[in-house]
Amino acid sequence: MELHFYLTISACLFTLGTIAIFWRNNLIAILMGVELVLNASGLNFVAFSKYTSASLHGQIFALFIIVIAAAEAAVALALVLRFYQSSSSVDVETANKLRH
Amino acid sequence: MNAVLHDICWILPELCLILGLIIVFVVGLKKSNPWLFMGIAKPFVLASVFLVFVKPDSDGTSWVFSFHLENLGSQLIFANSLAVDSWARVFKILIYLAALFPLWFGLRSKEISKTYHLEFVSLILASIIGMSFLVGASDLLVIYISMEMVSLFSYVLASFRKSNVLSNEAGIKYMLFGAFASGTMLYGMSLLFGLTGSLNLGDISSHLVDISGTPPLLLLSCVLIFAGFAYKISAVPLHMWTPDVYEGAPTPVSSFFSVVPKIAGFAVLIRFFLTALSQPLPDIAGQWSVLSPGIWPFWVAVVSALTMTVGNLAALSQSNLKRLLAYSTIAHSGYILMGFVVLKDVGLSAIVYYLFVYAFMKLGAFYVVICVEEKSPHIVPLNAQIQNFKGLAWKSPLLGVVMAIFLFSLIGVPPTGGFFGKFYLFKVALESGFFWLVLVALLNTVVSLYYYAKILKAMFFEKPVSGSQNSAPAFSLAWDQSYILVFLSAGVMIFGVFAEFFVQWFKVVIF
Amino acid sequence: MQENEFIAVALLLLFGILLAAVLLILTHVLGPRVFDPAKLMPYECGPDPEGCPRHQYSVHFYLIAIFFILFDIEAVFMYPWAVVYAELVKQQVWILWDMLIFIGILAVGFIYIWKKRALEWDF
Repeated sequence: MELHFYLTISACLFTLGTIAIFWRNNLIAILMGVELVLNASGLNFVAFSKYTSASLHGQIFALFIIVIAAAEAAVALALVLRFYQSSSSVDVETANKLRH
Repeated sequence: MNAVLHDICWILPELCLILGLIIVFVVGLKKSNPWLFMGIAKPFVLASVFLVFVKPDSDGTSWVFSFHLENLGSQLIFANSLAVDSWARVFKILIYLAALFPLWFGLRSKEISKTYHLEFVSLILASIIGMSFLVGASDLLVIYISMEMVSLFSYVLASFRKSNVLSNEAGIKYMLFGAFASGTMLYGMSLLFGLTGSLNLGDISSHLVDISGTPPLLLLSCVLIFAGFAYKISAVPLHMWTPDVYEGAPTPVSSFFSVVPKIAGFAVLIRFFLTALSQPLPDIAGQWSVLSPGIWPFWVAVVSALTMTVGNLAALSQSNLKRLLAYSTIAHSGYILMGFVVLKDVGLSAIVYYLFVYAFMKLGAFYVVICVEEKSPHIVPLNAQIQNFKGLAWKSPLLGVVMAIFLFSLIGVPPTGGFFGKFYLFKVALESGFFWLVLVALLNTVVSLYYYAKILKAMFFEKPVSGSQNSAPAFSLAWDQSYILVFLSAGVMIFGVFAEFFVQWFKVVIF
Repeated sequence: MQENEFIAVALLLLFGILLAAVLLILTHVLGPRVFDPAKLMPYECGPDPEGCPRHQYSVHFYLIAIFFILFDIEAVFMYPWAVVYAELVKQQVWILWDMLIFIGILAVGFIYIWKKRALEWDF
């Protein structure tokens, strides 16, 4: 288990998360992509903390990332719920009233 | 705990604001009255401004008050993760003062319903607590947590009108965009941590000195981190959320977004780049030399030029004033980035001066929009269309004069503050040889003249359209509305007339 | 080699998938195929099914789940604190007050949701 395995996995997670954010039409699926991106960074921090001479700060940062990702998901889901109640759809294509 | 107790006396302004927030909660859960909220929040915020000038004594026994911020020195606290230096202090003062206005606008406006005043006040207070940690952040972890704190509260504030479709859409767009941008920034931070082995900005720069050349991973990490900051300051290519969010959010909240998080974003952007990615020159105070990746000032100049151009060109065809002011915010972010392409103290003090003037003029322009919107019985987005401003200057001369001052300042006409701000930024860029950037900025200023003058033309030279909400013969402003408008416009003019004094004062204070 | 221990897990996984696949395929191949509308309707203990199977969930499920996540995260922050507590208390460091302030700030939020009646269930 070398460092570059973990880095490759987290790079794949980051890419998949970004694709999910830009490609999916469903708001909940976009939020899943956001979680993937945040967890990719967390994996990166923990891997660097273990395999290089970096200190334990990386693992502490990963703990904070988990917490902040959960708080962000709570706020994001509240906003999605509010959006659903006002436009009866979780499709992001219906959010088009603010065009130029 | 000893370390925490020892350092906690350095963050008195934040503690005062936290105490104010708790008291607002306790009182607001019992009774709700806008003047009560303002009466509690205002003294705490002003007390925090006062406390910025206070620092603990060297033996930790008593406190020292000094109006000259340069005498207060700088200190790294909480295991070198927060910096309390003049840069942070000046920005804290600006943020606290600039946040009072949207707070007052929102409590007084019809768009924020009375049942949610407690939430509105506490969200704005909590935002400025987050921002004051952000401007002092000297550690990647603190930068990330503070930025997320500010962003999360902003998402909720953007969708504050719960039943309005546009407000909900603005909140969703802001949240999706912001989550992606902060996730990207976090990935960049993780790569930077791996390359340098430390989260502290100072340690990162000392590790980067040893790395020769530019590993591609370092370049990637810096680009990703810059993406997160660029989202906060609405720079190209992450500027696309700005017009939609400003148009959909309630107008007091838009005025908050366009001023206060931008100020904090610039503060942390400059601190990050100057502490982590460059090195102070040892014998010349106030100048920095660039570490790897070595050519990032050039790329900042490119981003600045693109941001100005995109903001100004897109604003030409807008008829909704909120959207127009959003694009003007993007354009001004481009101008401000110009002061940053040179790593000298004159550039940074020009940026600080411009941010002070920018706060006054943007808040004023947004408040004029709020005053006009409120005359209509229903709050709909069409209230901010330009046709509602036609002939307004003859019905309410105060509004006409004040809006003229704000718009002249936004264009950059002497002797308003906006002219001198742009003048100092152009001077800094010219002295460092970025001629092409100054040329682009001058062309953009000329382009911006068109759309600001469009508003002035509607206010001064056109007759009111029948059927719009200002077709009534009289347009009267309440006394407190007039007082705020006069105060903001006087601020713009004072900053303009005494520009040299202010720029020198900032240069002395910060460096 | 540690990998030897995981071969057993891999074998278990493989057998599980094979079993499920074999059962499903055999049922599909060997069972009778009937295309009678009465036989294909969902089973509801006798009477005909009526109405849409999905019904509206109360929004309170979402609220309680979010409150659980947020207070669970507060507990997550308490675990590292608990690990170093014994050692630091020996060095006369008052870290109890740190955690009490943290819990206090969250308690303000708790009082807020209590007063706003978000903990009551709507019927």
